[in-house]
Amino acid sequence: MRHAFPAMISSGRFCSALSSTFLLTWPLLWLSRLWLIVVPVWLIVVPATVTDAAQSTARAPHPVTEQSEQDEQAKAIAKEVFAGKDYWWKRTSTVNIPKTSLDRITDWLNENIFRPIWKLIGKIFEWFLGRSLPDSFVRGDWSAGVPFLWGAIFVGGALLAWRLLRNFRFPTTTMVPEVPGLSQPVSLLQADVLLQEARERLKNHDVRGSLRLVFLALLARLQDLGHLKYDRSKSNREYGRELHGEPDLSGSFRLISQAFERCWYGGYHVPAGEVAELIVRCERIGTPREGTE
Amino acid sequence: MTRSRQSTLIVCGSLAGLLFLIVVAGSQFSLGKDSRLTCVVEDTRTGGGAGLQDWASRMGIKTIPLRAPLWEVSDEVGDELGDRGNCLLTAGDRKWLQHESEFPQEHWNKIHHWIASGNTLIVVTNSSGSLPDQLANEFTQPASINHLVEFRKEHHKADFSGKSEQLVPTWWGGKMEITGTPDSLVNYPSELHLAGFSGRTILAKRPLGKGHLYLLLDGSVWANQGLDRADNAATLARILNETLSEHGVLAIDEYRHGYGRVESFASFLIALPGAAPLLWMSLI
Repeated sequence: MRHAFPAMISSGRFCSALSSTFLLTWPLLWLSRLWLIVVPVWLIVVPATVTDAAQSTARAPHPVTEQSEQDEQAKAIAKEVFAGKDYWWKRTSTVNIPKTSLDRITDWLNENIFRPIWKLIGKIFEWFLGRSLPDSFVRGDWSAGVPFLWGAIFVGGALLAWRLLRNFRFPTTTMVPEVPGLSQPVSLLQADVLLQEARERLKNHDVRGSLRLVFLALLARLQDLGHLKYDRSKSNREYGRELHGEPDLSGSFRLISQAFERCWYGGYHVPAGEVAELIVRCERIGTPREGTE
Repeated sequence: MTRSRQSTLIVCGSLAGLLFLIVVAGSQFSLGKDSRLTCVVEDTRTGGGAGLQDWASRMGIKTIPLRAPLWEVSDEVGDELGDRGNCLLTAGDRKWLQHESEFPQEHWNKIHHWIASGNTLIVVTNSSGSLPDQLANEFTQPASINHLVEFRKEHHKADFSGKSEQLVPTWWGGKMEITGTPDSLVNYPSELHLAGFSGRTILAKRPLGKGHLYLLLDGSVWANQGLDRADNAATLARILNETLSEHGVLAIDEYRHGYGRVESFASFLIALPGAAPLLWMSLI
């Protein structure tokens, strides 16, 4: 009341209550002249009206209440936001899974070997990039991917440089097999020369040497036709894989290469007639019957 | 076309498609939940600020990710941020400038001027060592007192009872949950102490001209990790209510964490969502 009454006066409610009460009661007072009864009543009613008005003012939202409502609202919204699926990790719990000896070993390796190595690499990157690059190149702090980006660029650049260097300094040449007994170097492209030499050797009963020349002639013919590329380091299986999409050629290659391997590496005897057939088969490669254009 | 070439093309195409998928949506497949403190609005993990942005929007507060340096805030984002009544939040444990041993004074002067003209800077960090000297000095050398104020690192976490989370009282009677940061301000004036233990301030306020500077020495409180805990959100709401004008904006500094405006091809690559996993794969 002590606080409410000045508020009533300052807000004008007191005056309006006073005047309305007076206007309503004045005609009655004048008529009945019951001053002695009404005045005490009026004196009781007006303060009571004022008290009610003051109490209604006190129930208005107080700043403290409003602030606490805002606090609750802020907390409720935060709870609502983090209930979303993006924050699934807020609803997980730690499960204790007993560690196996393998887990302990990997943990130890991670902690004592891999993690220090990663840290060291990171430090080297930071040191190198921090000193060598101008600040304007990538501004702001380093995000987690930046060292790896530069690592990838560095590795890619090094590979590219190596390839270019290799191409310029050591241009790719067609490899040529060495054939003992031939006076001049034989290009693989000269498959006919090789087949001619194979026939000569077969006539001289050198089946083994003849079969090797047939096989080299086969490689030469296939390289000439663009189906494979000769390389000393390649295995016959790799050549066969290169012919994967050509069943006819692949069949011929398998036939000749198996005969050659059986004789050359296995030491098995291959009849001269069979070698002659292989020479003919090799000659036919590249013709329409063999299925290549 | 031969069958072998077809299969080679299919394999190459599948690999290219896989790489594209990783670049575009790689981060969606991540199972990790931990990230370092950045408050970056795209980060939904512990140290990110996606939740903060969403929360602020629902509270009716306009937010923007700041893609320009802090010291250019008044020059470059004038359209978004008015002259005064704005709030800028920067969070992180690393130095503000990676390549500079000391934060340039001219940069700080610009930030200071922006705050003093009626704006607010909220700095969140776990490590007081990450703060520029000029900023740290604002808290350790307040003009109003003559006793020693300093940052102190508690190695033993004596006040935290061995728990990783702890409730600290705030100036308005609420409780803020922190994760046991070792750094705090010691002997900070009580009238500017907003949260912490007796003699140790975790959340500090510093008036600068017409504006304010706030320092929170715990990275979890307003990041995704802790915004929904205890009265953390309510505490931030109170600060924002006090500092933001009717049309004020809450800007979140992302430039500092590599999400700056695209100024080079490298920064463009890094801005891609799945850049980090792709780079990992490329490197391996």
